[in-house]
Amino acid sequence: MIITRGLTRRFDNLVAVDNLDVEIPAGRIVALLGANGAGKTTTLNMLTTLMPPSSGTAEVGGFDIQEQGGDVRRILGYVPEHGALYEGLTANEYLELSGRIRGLSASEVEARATHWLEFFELTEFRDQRLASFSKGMRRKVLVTSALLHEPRILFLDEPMDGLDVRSQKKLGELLQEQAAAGCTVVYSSHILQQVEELCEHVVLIHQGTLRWQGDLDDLKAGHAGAGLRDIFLELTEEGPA
Amino acid sequence: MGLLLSLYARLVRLAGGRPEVVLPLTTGLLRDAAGQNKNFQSRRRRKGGFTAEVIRLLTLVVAAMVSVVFPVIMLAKPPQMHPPVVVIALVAVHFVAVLMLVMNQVGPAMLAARDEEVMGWWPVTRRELLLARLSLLLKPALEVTVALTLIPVICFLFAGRPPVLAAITLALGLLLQTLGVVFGLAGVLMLILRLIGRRKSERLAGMLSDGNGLLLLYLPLFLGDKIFPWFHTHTWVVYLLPPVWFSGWGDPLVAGRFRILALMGLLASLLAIVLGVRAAATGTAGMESRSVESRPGRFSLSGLIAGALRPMMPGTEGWAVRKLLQAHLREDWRFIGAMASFPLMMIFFSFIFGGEVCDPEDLAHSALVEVGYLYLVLMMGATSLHAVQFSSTPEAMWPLALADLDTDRILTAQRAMIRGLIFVPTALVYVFSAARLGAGWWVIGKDLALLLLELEMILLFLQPWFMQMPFSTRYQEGQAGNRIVAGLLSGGVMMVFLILDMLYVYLQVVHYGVWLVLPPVWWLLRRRLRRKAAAEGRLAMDVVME
Repeated sequence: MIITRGLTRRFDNLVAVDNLDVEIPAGRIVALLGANGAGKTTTLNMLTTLMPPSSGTAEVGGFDIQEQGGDVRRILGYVPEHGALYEGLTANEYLELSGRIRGLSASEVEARATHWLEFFELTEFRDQRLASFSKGMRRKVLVTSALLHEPRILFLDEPMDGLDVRSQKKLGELLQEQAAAGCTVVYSSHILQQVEELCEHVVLIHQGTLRWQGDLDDLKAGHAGAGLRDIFLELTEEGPA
Repeated sequence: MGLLLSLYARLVRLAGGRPEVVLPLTTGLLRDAAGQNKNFQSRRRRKGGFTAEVIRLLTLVVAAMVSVVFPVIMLAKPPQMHPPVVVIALVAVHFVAVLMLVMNQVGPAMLAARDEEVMGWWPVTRRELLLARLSLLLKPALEVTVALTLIPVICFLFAGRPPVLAAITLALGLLLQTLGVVFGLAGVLMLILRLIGRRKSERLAGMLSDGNGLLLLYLPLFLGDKIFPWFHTHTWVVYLLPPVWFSGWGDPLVAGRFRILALMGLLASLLAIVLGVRAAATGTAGMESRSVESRPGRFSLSGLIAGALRPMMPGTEGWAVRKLLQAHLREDWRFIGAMASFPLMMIFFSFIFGGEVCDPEDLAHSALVEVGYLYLVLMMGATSLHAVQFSSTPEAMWPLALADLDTDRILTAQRAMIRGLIFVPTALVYVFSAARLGAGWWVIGKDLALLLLELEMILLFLQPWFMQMPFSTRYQEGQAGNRIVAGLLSGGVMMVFLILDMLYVYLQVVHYGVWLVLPPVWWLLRRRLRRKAAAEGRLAMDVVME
């Protein structure tokens, strides 16, 4: 469960996220939608404790992001849009670092990393340094790192970016499995077709403010016959919602 | 090894971190640093040469060899004053060595590290991250400390007063000085990071690296007239440096008098360590929004500099290199620091140590000795070294690299750029200094022509070795190693030119002979470079490296 109350983030004169009140149910795949610069990444940065809010509060998995940041970090996995990696490390070394810091034993890290690297068809590259990895391969390593400690909540910012079609399909199925196992998946994306296929719940932000939240089916029902693309365009038109 | 790890774990716990987090983090960061070096080496077209490890070992061996001087002097000439001058010199050299090590490499790396972007959401506290980063910093600092002080300490084990106590006190003092400098500076750097933010601290990192921060050490020399006499009458201040305590302990006559000062030094060091760790652990820039860079104004500094170089850099290739230069002048503060530091240093030497009067007869043929004291050639060599090093071109400029540009013309434009950025300011200072002494314009013109020819030849010699653009934004040990290699290469050429310049000043035959010999050599070097670029099938993108 993720709850935000009046969550706001300002950068000098720019209000990137403005008084956001959102409730995201547990164990579901939730799409975080919005145009470029709508405030999606800033919201994710606040929820993952990367950035403190200017005002307002949020709870992630029952923990306050400001008061209990350490607890929040322990239960989440995050795949950021511009995922930076320590490029001098091999995939194996990076995953070992990620897992050990989260309290996994060496054998646990080895077993889980092997499983996910096989899943993403990266086994033969596991001893290569990340600097030589393509964008898609880096993405897969980041997803693997986010999954190693079996997080309760998974945040993904444009996770399909750079992935080939087969990998996109596999990642989609993986996210559905995670949600079925009780993990809350917050998925930020521009690709509405994928959102329609994967997500059950939608949070739509425009210019930092909430435009709509609820089940995808309800959203569609309210706009009889319209596709998600048309609904998105209608809800993000300039002017008050 | 197990004992060391256990000790390290205890220290980490004592410092408020969790060993189960800090230990793997330290290992990961060390592996990353080693991997980055390998990445850097593998990107270079020219294989072989010295690896970062070899360079590191060589540096330590050189430090150990230098350290032999101190005990030799001490044994050869028993000290008359307390503390002995050699000890003060050793302590000062150690202080500067550790300071420069931190400021040149590890400090910029700390300022520019983007740990938040890699693990900002991992369950790692700021303090734990810092403890791991400090471990990276402490390792080379302790290595330099051991290399520089092991031999003197062993010597004091037998020759100190009293022998063993003097050596132990000196060793402990040096260790404390290392920790004080490292932690104190780390605290200052992190405080700066917190105060000025991520973007500006990255710029500062660029300004400090590659020895540019060395200029800060010269600044007190401007006040030398006041500072040195003060030190002469207040010699007790050296007792505030921890390693000098042993002199007080070793001499019963002065021990009592200086014990309070030694205690103050101890307290100051401990305070620097504690406050440094505290400031560093809480200092973070956090995430920043990336502001959109506005287009530079028509009369921006980068535009004006690039515009001034336009006559020297014609054609499409010249335009491309000017655009790259503009981009780096706006964003790459390491480049700015490197380009600005050596002309500044030259001006500094000219005005601090340069003469104001001389015998007019000495200026009859050349003003090189009177004005430049021959360091002028060294300065130009060092600047050309900066200009022929390693590159990291902004992504936005890659279309230029991929365009159908001529490699040889790009290299020509690169030399023209160095001429404009390095030689022109150097020449202006030279003209001013020589004219002030009363040298004739014909003499000044000849000297400048010779210096220009020499600079061109150094560049033509170095370009085939380091055929890249002169920009860089990476802070790596491997890169520092390659700079040393380039330094050794250009140092060899410098020595030849130094001897040549000396003969040029004092021997009539050489004074005129150089004009017959150097131009053909320049032409041959130019032809060699052109052929090499063509023969190796170099593409523009090899020169304008990522």
